[in-house]
Amino acid sequence: MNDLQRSAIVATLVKDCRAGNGFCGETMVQKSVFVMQELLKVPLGFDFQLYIYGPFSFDLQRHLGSMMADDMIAVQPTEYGATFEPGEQVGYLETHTAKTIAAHRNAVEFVVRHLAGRGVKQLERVATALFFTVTTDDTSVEGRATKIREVKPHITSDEAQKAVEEVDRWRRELAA
Amino acid sequence: MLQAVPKLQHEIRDPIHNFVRVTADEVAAINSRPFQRLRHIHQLALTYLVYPSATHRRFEHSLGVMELAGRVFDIITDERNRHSGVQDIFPDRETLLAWRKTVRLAALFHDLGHLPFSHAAEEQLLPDGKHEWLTVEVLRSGEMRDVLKQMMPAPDPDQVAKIAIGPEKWGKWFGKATDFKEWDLLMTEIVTGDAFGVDRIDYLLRDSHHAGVAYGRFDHYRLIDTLRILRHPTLDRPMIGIEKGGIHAAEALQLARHFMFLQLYYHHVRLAYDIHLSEFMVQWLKTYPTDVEGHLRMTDNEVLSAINIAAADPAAPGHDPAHRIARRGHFRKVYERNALDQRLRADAVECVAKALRARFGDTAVRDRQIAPKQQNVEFPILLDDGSISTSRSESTIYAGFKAAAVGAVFVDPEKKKDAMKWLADNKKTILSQQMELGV
Repeated sequence: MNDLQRSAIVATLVKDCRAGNGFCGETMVQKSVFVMQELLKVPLGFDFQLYIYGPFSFDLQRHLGSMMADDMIAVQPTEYGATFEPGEQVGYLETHTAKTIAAHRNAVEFVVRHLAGRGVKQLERVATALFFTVTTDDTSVEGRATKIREVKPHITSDEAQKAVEEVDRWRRELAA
Repeated sequence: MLQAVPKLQHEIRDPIHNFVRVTADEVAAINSRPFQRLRHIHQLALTYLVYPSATHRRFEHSLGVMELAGRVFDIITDERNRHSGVQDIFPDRETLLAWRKTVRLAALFHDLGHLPFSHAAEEQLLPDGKHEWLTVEVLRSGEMRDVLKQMMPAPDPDQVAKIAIGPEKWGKWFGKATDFKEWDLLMTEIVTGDAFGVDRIDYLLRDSHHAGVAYGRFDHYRLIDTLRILRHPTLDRPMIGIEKGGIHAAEALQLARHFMFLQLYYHHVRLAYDIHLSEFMVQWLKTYPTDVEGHLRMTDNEVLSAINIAAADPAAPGHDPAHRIARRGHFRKVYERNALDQRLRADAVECVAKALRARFGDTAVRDRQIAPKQQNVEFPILLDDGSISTSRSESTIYAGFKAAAVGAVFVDPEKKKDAMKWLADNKKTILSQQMELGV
């Protein structure tokens, strides 16, 4: 994917997330892109590593800065923090990358359906669960939950297990 | 019998900070070969070909960063400045003293890995294109280990390296970003932080001073005095923020960065010389010596000498770019990114460059695009009533700020007149050509 196509997917995500006044902060964008890339195989090409709130891409952070410079997204402060919203040039993207958006529309809808409205801590848990699902050979729920707790000891065993189980439900949903 | 008392603190005069104060341990660090090498690395590459006095080096910049790192550390850890929401994160006094030393050394050493002429050719010549990798390699080398080992207490070279390069680069090459605990993140924020990192504060002030421009100046005394560790109200983690009284100084820093970016760092002539310098270094060197010894032997002096030699010898590798640098034959700007054309098409610069290449040939055209450097910066602000808000909520500058991207297309000076006329006649057609739709 080129930069314009990546911007198209991210801008579509922001637009769909904000429909109905939903909150779309940077954590939501980061985790949604991670899920689209790693679970739904959208070839966005961002480099992720585990960080403060789970999988994080400094590349994506820079790309969001570029998108703001190009008016593809904007930032709006709210009582819950800063949210992204569609920029003035979203229409331009929709016109010139229509095929890209159409090809990955289902992926965007999937992440918005499953992640929108969640707080930072919830997003952290489920994204970290997915991280260990795709990066380790351990397929057991207990094994992956243990790995989560090793790097994120503030997450309880119960929370870690539920996060892993949720990721597995997503995988079954996609396979069906 | 009289005995000499060793001096515990030394002073180095500095045009930006008046004095840089250093301990005996830090003098040993400054006297090390890797650090002394920075006397021979220009801070702003070939910017002196545009702003003649911008000849300062990474040596004095690094001293300045260390000075500021100490000042910031002292302010944010001062007991009188600790907000109730973060009281429990501060280590004991002895540990704090050790951290102060580590942070100052990290600030001092943060640029050890810079290639000659700073960023000019690092994308092409280094694995993953970043000098921070070399910074860590140098810090882990024998000489630097010995220097650090002799300090009392001796800091851990890897701890110094971590704080010097930050979580992204550390996580990419040496460990994991999650190696940074809460306190480590605060310490690296002092040096490398996007909002208030002292690396940036020093280079804005220093570059502005030496270039002779006013854009980079702001009230950094006031800003530093108001820095505090505060818990972000929605992210719920401690970060470096400010008391409300410092907001205008912070806004001035943001604007200084913006103007210096546009007017100095990415001045179109500077960009042109960067292109030629990068091409020369790749053609002359082929690969950069990434072993520590090879790296330490390479400074701007070797490159400038090679440029002079290559400029006079048409058969030498890199002759053309060397000649352009030495004889002021740099490529000239014929097009630059602008808001109107960007509205027509997001790839306007690439489009124009492609069209000019087709018309005048690949060798006569170059283009350069720089993505915005400023991230989505947000930090906590302590209000007068003791509550904590954020920069975007309290500042119209931060709320509405949009970082600038830069782009330009250059041509061989001999073709400039024809290129400008051709572009004036054809730009509208070029920009209205059907874009390739996404797949």
